[in-house]
Amino acid sequence: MLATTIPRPLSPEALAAIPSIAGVCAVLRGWGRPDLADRIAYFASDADLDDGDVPVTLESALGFLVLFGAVESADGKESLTCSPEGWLLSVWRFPDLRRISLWFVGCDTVMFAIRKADGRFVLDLNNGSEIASRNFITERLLESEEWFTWYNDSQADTNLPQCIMSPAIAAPAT
Amino acid sequence: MHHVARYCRPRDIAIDGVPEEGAFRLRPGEEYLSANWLEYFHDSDRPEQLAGVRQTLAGKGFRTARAARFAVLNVGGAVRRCQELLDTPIRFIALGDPHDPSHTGIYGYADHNTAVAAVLAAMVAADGLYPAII
Repeated sequence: MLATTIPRPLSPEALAAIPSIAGVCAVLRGWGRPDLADRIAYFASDADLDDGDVPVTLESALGFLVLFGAVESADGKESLTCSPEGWLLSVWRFPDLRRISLWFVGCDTVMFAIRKADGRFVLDLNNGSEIASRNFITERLLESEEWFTWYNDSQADTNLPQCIMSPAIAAPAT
Repeated sequence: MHHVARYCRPRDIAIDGVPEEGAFRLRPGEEYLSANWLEYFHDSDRPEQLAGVRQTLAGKGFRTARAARFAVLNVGGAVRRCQELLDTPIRFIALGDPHDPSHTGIYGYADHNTAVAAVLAAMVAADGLYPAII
């Protein structure tokens, strides 16, 4: 694991101080994940946009950053894609049939599809709805201990930060 | 056996070249997922089938990205898996558009039904991906 100069997980204050997608990428590079930073930078660009598509939104990227900064998976390998609406889709693939797919619809909201080791999907995680708060899903994934653990146990028994989009964050990057 | 090809945007394709479930999720308000019925163009010759899809989409003015892919789905297999795993009866319906007779709609799931998208993505075999542009 590379040494980082940016604390992981992020504090609410650090999260609120990230002004742009470039800031999200800088944090990921600081955590030793330039591959994820490069993917998000690609999604933020105009490259390969279809008609009607939008680049990744800051809210979505922040949602991913909060979750990724707080948890780790021993055997899940993550990948990133981006929806036409600009929502990051983060997929964790496991050596067995387990698979987690989280669309970061906003900073605090995710759509999900979660597949267990027997190949079946978790459909009753949120009373059958496939959209929930990021913290709710994170807590459920951590509870069962087969998907994620807290990153370095540093966040155990604490809540993940909520995204509070301050005017400084909402303003376009200069 | 019947097959359809689904156009996968470059942004729906993971770094290892595999389309993720985003390629099979309905956009809000969409009634069905669009695909093209391959056997319309030829009984079994896959290159000829895909050439037909490329030509048809180009004829409709659809812009295909260089890094995009066509993902081929087995219709019967996809229907079975969605029924087995999710108890969701999806249907493939040939829409028979005048300018795109191979146009097929995949019906039976809502835009928030991410599990169906995940099942369809998992149905794409490693040898079932083809470049959108050659």
